Amino acid sequence: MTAGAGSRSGHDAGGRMRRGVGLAMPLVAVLVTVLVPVSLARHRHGMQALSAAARSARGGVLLDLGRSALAEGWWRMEQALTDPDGVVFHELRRAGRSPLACVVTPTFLLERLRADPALAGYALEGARVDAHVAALMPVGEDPCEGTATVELVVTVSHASERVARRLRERREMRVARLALPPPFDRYALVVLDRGLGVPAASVAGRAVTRDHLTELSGPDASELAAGAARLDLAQWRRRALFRFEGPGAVRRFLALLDERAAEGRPVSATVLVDDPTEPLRLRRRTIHGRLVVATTAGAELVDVRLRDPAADLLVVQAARRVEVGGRVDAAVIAQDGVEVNPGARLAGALVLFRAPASRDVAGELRADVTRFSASERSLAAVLAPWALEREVEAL
Amino acid sequence: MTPAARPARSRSAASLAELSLFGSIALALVAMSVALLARALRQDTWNGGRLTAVSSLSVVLESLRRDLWSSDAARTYPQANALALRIPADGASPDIVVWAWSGPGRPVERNRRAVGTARPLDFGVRVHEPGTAVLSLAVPSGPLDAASPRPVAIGVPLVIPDALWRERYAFWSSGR
Repeated sequence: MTAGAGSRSGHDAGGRMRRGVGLAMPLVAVLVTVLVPVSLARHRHGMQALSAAARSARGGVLLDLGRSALAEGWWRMEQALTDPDGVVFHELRRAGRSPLACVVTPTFLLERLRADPALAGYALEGARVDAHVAALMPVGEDPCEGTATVELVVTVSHASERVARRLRERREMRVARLALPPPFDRYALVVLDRGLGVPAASVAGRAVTRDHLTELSGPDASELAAGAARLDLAQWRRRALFRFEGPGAVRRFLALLDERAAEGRPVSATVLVDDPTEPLRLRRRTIHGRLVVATTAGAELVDVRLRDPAADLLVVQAARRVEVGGRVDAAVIAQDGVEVNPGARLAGALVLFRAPASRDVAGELRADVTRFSASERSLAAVLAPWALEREVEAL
Repeated sequence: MTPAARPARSRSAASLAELSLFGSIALALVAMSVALLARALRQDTWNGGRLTAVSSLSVVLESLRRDLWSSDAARTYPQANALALRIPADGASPDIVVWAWSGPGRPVERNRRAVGTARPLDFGVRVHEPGTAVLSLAVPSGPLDAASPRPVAIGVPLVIPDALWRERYAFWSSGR
């Protein structure tokens, strides 16, 4: 080492030049020896802390972006489930279908990622949300009604920090037939215990009388017997999309109808009202939506209309006696007798487990069965309101 | 008479006065350097402590938010500064994840494993009004030996996803 600013020179007693580094050089050496490692260690620690904070903060943003992608993915999936012109609609309503994989494009989120400078560097991998629909598991006698799991998967990442998160969310999807169960959708009137029926085609738009009743035999009779199995109330516990049980079940169901009516929103579902002690009373109501209701008690239907007869429908199945008064736009399945009051007009269809006494049927039945058709379009595919499972994976 | 010549003295050697003067200056310079270094070190420690605290908070909160998003039910235990989250597993029994803090000087733990390096001053759920709650976490920042460390606090809303839907659609029937 050569002496620099700290070098000192002088002469000894003999006049010879002496050279040395003096006090400054050791001082500088000590400072460098101590300060450099300390500084490096502190810099390293600081950078690690900064990196961890940045990764966590970006991870939080990625979680939010992934949630947004999934929320939009579910919304677009719901649209695909109800769009009769879409491929998904038909695929999901095919009996015995296999699992389905499709891709959903979250357009809103992609647009936001492009437009927002605060989100520069964040990306949705593949610019898509992957959807997988598992095979349908039947919940009853109808092979088209069932339950399946839908899974959406999305991967979001940030370029500079190489941080990525994969989010996965599963929901239940129910497929329910919002119609008269087949083969009853082809009849204006059926009396099961007598094997009698009136095919809808023979009385389209006209009043149905006893004279129209014909004895059903051969394939028709066996088909109706098989169809009756689908009306079993025990199956309704699995078939129903909405279930109201116990004391107050009727009140809670009617409260739902009132709430949706106030919001102008339809109620479309298969519903089980399970309280044998209280009859289902629908009086002076306008139904908005496609509603198939079964009750373990009786039913009173008085002046029940449809808001849009072309799109809405009402099917009521009762385990006990059904009373009809005024004008009722509905199909009625009476397991324990029916009483149609004088002047009453039932516009729909009537399925009776037992033949009624003459005195019990005083009104008019006008066949209006086209809306009750159990076609592919009567199958509603509905996503559960909440997730079965969610996962976040740090990649 | 010619005075006798004095013996020659070397002018290059420092006198006592010079040595004292330069020594004093050198000592003052060293003292100033040490004081400056000590102050810089304290400042650096404070910044480092704050950075560590914020970093640790970020790590804890991100992990906590992931658990919150995955959960379908929560229960708080104010006495134990703990939060239990139920995380459903499709086709299996749900997992229970417990976030807890056993007091000052202890880290926040997730299922008894420390998360982050910070030693929080506070961790708990604050209910602000019916139906809303914030999970708050406060950590000291600055030098660890400071008499009154300035806390850094971050809160996240305690929102259990789907809780509203579960309440509103209590009549939804699963076919599974």
